[in-house]
Parts: sequence; C-alpha cells; structure tokens
Amino acid sequence: MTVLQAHPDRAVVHHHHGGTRHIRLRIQAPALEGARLRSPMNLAFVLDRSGSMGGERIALARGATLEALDRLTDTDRFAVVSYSGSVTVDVPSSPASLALRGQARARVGQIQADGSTDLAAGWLTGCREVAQSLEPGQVARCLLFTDGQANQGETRPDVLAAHAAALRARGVATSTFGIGLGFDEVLLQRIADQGGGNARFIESSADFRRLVDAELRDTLDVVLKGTVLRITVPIEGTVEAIGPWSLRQQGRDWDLSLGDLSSEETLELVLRVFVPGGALGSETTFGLSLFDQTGELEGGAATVSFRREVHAVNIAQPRDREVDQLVAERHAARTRAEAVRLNRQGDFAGAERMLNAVADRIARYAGDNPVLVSLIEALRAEATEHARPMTEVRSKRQWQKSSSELRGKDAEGTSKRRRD
Amino acid sequence: MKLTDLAAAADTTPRTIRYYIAQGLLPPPAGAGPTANYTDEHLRCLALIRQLQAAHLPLAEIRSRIEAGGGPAPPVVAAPSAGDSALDYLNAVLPNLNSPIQSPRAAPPAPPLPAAQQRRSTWERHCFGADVELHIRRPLSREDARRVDALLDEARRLFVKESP
Repeated sequence: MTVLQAHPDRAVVHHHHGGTRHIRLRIQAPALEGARLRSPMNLAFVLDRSGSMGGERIALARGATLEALDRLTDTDRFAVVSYSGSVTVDVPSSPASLALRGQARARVGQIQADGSTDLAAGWLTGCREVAQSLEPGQVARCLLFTDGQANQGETRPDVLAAHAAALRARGVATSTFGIGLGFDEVLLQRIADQGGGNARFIESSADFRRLVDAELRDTLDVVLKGTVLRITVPIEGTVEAIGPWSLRQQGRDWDLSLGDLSSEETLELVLRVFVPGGALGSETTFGLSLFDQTGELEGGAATVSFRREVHAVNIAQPRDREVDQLVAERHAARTRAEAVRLNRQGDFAGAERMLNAVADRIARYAGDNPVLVSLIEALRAEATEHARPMTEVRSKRQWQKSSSELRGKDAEGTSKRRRD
Repeated sequence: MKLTDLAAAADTTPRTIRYYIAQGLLPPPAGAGPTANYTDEHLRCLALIRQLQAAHLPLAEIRSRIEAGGGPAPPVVAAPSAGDSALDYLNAVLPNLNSPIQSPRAAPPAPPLPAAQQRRSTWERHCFGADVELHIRRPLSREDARRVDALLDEARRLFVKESP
C-alpha cells in the first residue's frame, strides 16, 4: 500500500498575521509483487552522433544502448535513433525479441560520429517512435544520450522543456544522459524534469553500466504512473514546493505532479506553506492526497493542521529538528545548483554570496544539530571555492549531486528505495 | 465514479483494478489522477472478468475473449481526441521545429469552466521574505500567466534561494 506521511516544522502560527511553515512529506510507493506485474516497456534510445561525440563518447553511448538492450524481454518494445545535423531511425520501434535485439546490436555498432547537433529533431524523432506503438499499461520513455548542446534546429530551452512536458502529459517520458564534460546540464536537467524522467551524468566508461542499470531499474519497476499530490489549501493560504516540481492550481486544490514512482520508492519533499491568520485558538488544515493515473491511492491521504495562537506561544513552540534538517538540506541543494550556474557565468561574487547567505540562514536555527553544523561548514567552504572559476568536472559533479538531492534522489539521480 | 467507488461496487480492490488496467483487461479511466472517472461499463467489464475467471480461464485467454468481443461490449471511456495523443503532437511539431509551439495541437484545450467558476478569482500571495510579497489574482490570460511565472522565477532567484 502507498504511504503518505506529513510533518510540519512548527504547528502554531501567529493568530493575527499567520505565518510561513514547512511541511516534510514522505511518500512510500508500494512494492511490485512478482515479475508478472511489471508493465511492458516501450523505449527509444536516442544517440547524439555529432562530431564531438567521436572516440570514447560515441562508444559510451553505444555501450549504454547495448547494455540496456540486454535488459529487455519479449514483451517490451524499443527503437534506436541517432542524430547529428540530420536524424536517422537506425531501428524503428520493434518488439524486443531476441532476434530483433541481435539485429539492433549490429546496427548500433555501426553508428559513427560526425556533423552538428540537432538535439530537438533527434530526441523528438525518438519520442515519435515510442508514440507510434504506445499502448495503455506501457511504461514509455525516451533515453537521450548526448555530449553537447543543441546548436542546430530548435535550440530554445523553454521550447524544448515545453515539448518535454507536453509529451509527458501524453504518456511519453524522457530521461537524459550527459556524456563527457561539454554538455549543457541545465538544458538536460530541464528536459528531464519537465519530461518526468531523470538527468544523469556519465563521466567515464566506469559509470555508464551502473547508471544505465539504475535508469532501467527505475523504469522497469514503475508501480505508480503519473503520480499527482493534491494539496487542499485553506482560503488565503498558499503552497510552494522546494524543488523542481510545478504546481497547478484549481480553486483551493493545488496539484503537484510527481511523475512515475518505482517499487518501494521513498520520496521526501518539502512544501513551504503560508498559513493564514484567523480567530485565536482556531485551527486550519492543509489536506494532502495522492493519485496515480487510475485515481486516488489507498493510504495516500494525510492532513496537517496549524493552530493560531498569541505571539508568546508562537515564539515558544518547539521545532521539529528532523524537518528543519531536511528543509536546510533542500535549500542548500537548491543554492548549490544555482551557485554552479552563476560560477559558470563568471559571477563568482554572486555564487559566493549566495552560498554564504544560505549558510547564515541555516545557522539561525541550526542550534547544536551536528548535521546542520557540518552543512554550514561545507557551504562556507564551497563559497570560497566558488570565488574563482571551477573546473568543468567539478561543476558537473556538483550540479549532479545538488540537483539530485533537491529532487529527493541519490547523488547519481537514482530513486531511493525503502530497502536502500 | 472514483476508483474506490468502482472497487466497492464490484466487490474487489483498487489494487486489483489497477492490475487489470496494467494487463490490458480493463481500459484506463476517462481522465487521470484526481480527475480519473470510471463508468458503469467498467463495472460490467469487471463482472465479465469475474465470470470468466470462475470458469478457470487464464488472464491471457480472458484478455483475448474481451478483445474479441466475446462478452458484453467493452467499457466505453472518453478516449482522448486525436490532438491529445503523443503521436499527433509529434506529427504536428516535428515538421516545423523552428516554430513556437502554438499549434492547436500543442496542448489540449481546457474544458470550459462553469459560469460560477468563471466569475471567481483567487488571490495568490507569494512571500519572499519578511518585507517582500507579491500578490497575483488568478485566473490570468495565458500570456500574463507566462509573464507572471517568469516574474516569480526571477523573484525566487533573487530572494528565496538565499533564505531557507
């Protein structure tokens, strides 16, 4: 059964002014019981074969694709698309029979690097291969392997992100794999976020097998498709998610789209809510309920109530230290990702200032919590590091780590499971 | 009806219904997530599945009988319109990649709101610190919503990310 737990950092607000509070949510997806319950997969592997992918990188992309092919079974479908300045459908969407996978291995081995990078055309052609054979019950996903930046055709990040979101809403998700050090991590992260998938960083041949395994494990084990958290907010209340999730409001209901959840996946996220003031001693409640594509989930409902009190009671109330810790970690992760972006743009002072500022804020409520004290020290050290240009590999690692943490995943972008 | 209502009416569990949908025995509901809606046809289809299961038929055989129309008509659910499918979306977008995505197929039209809701509006209050707030009255036009989203992103960048 799905589990939803919700805890606020503080349970009291000022009766007249109201106040901003954080809510920690812990969502536990149910277990996939038995291989027979696994949904069939419908995948497209999209390989960047632009000139910069020459040598080891195209070999990594080919290797990742071959690795993934070995994980498929007869009930799955797959396609292989490669692109540079033009797009080639190397293997049209086909059943993943042993024979066809064997033929595909030979085709993938022949993909060579040359030309420019029309990422949009290649990626969307891969999605079309998936869409052509899309059926209810499938887990449909496009896996994009690239080392570069979109430099031909449609290159606007907003438009590419909008395509990803539109396709996700129509049942085709996208995960991205950045290879080497030259890719645009901000663009690939946006496509993955909007596309309901993961963004991963393949630094060397030592990484790709593990990361492809992790991606397929997440894809194979999907138990809740198109998960949505509905937050019912009191009149005059507001809600914001600390992370990349977008909220859509309909009256008092705010829907937070969480995408697909895997077997026993544990997702922790933080909501920042504004609790409106009201009559002294009264309570106001935020309702939380989880849905997947089929409807409301058993066990997926919770409420969080806040009491309105006078100033002295509000000030004296205890804080939930575990919630504080998660809130601090998520704010730190968001700031770290932003600091990497600023450092890359040459705004070293801005990156340094931002990291020190978040450390200052956490210090106000950290007390003697050793985890938070350690986090503050780390942020200050990183602030010094950001005062000068960072190496490309350090930037990429920092971005991957902080982006993943912000999304409640492990350092490599893989979902956390109960048994982990 | 909701999933839980369907499960109660069919004397089964939501989990079983999800399994039947995943296995292609039962069509998905109209809508998804909070708007998922099941009909009496789903109920009839569940009854048929139970009947065939009582005859000890395997699920694969049950599926093929349902597909072959060997029982009551399959449940009728509101299928997405042509423009709602991923394939139609891509067929519209791919030939014209340099165009902004303003094609009619780019997004399904929102259903018209009831008259009462059309007149309603809601103020959103976004706090960016002790002394800085933004107030926005929704609904907004799509163009204004985009501008406001950009404004909020910028405000978050300036204020929120510095304040845990």
